[in-house]
Amino acid sequence: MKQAPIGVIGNSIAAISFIETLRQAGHRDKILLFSKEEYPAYGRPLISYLLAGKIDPDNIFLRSPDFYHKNNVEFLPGEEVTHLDISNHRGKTRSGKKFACDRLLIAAGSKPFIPPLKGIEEASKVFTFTTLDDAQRIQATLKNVKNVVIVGAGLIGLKAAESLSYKNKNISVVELSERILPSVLDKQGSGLFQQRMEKDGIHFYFKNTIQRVKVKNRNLCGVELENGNSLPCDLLIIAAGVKPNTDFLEESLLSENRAISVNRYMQTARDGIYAAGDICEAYDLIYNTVRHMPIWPNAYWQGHFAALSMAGIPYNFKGHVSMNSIGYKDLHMMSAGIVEDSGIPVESIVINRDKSYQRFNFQDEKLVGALFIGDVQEKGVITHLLKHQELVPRLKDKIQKENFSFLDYPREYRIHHLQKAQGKK
Amino acid sequence: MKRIVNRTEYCVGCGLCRINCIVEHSRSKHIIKAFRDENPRPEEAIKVLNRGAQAMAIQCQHCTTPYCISTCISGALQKEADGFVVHHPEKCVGCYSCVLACPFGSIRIREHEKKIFKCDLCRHRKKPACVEGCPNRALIQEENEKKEKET
Repeated sequence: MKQAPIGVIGNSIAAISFIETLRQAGHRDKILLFSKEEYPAYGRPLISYLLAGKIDPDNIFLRSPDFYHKNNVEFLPGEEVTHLDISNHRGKTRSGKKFACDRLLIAAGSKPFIPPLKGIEEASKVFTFTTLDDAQRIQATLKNVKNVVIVGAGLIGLKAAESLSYKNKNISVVELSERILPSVLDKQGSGLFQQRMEKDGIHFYFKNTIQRVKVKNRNLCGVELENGNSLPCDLLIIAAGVKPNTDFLEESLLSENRAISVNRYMQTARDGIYAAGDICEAYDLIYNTVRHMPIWPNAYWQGHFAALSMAGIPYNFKGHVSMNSIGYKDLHMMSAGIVEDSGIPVESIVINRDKSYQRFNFQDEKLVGALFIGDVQEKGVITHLLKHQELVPRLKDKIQKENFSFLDYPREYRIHHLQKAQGKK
Repeated sequence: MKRIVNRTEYCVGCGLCRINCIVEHSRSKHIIKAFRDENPRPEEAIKVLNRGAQAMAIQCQHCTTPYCISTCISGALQKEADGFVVHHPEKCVGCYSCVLACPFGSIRIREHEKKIFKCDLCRHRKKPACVEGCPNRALIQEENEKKEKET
């Protein structure tokens, strides 16, 4: 009997890496790819660069236009899967297209979390900021916008603020916690970013939230904060985090975090059904726990591993480490693992040099986190240790020196690692 | 694919690989013009590391399973069918995620461009400039005989 094609739901980096790895492994079965959006896969984080006018719209796509064809993928743009009957291996899209699937990768990503705000339904010019359509809608309204309010000072909020600052808008950021990027920066780091952004006239309202959205003739005209202050506002951007996009899935696949639960082979609770990316959970090597880790490289690796599993190729994988590299204009930061106290007691070493700020967090003889602000050249040589803790006792002092390099690694490890990288081991 | 192999036991840290790399990636391809006149100076894709008597040159290893590509949000870094890890600068937005991921420190930041720069294996040449200029054969070019496979 002829097998149905492999189904892929979702069209971002997890799906791309799944397809690439599967083909590289010599697996040739046809793939049917369902994409909610109309576009070929694009880099979602690039929308802030697009809005800022920093990149050419043609350069937003992740792969060449012939990617799908070349890889024997039937690409179905605008076909959002809305129903999945896993027991009977059947699915349906919003437009009514039915499909059969015995083998499936669910990589439908995450969607913005929208806090319940009074008045938000009636207001125009309220946007999220995660898709190309979001960026284009914001772009289309910008001409008549003077005052922007951004809800959330996380990675998305920061990049939204940056792009709108290039457009000379009056920007206010309202954040529930007491500082910028609380999950990826320490207190001092948050302070550095806040200062830099305030220099551009961006206002911050911490430990605060929007109580009510003010609307006049269906037009957004302001927001009222919890502390009683009112801000003028003619464009509201909600950047309060993301949640797994699992509405179309049955309960049996989900964990208590409302994300898809997967084992180390990216298999869900159901045979033949794999998941990857923001929609599912991941094993965090540093926290030694399974959690929702919606970051780009995790999605890539999960798609990669799902393909290896489906192709029956064994692999070893220790776990994911949370990593972020992001800038606001001329100020850049890199962060990995645990950077601020998260209930786990750590020994912190902070190094302030001329134009750089660094923090290393150790727990016993383990490196559990690192933060670099300003000077970020070659920092992968240090973050690599988060996955190779056996080297930390020997390198703990050396990584704190300014010129730490790959040559500081033990000789036998260097040779082994170079050979491994080149495929000789 | 043809790879550059770093035979660190023969490296004395003379830095000729770096000079040759800079000249090769300059506009003029001329050593004096490249170093004195070109502003900003072309970036080196190979770095010479020194620690006392120890030395080694290191550049992008075109890893079989590259960390850098897993982090690239723009598709600027891609692996070609022959195993070559290619950087498309026109797509690079300078997020530097790849810099954070490369365990060799082999992806350089070009501050003035806000983009990255790395070894292109001198694919336009018969032999990479660094290999050609190495007096000790500490850098050699080698065909990887094993099939490039997943690890």
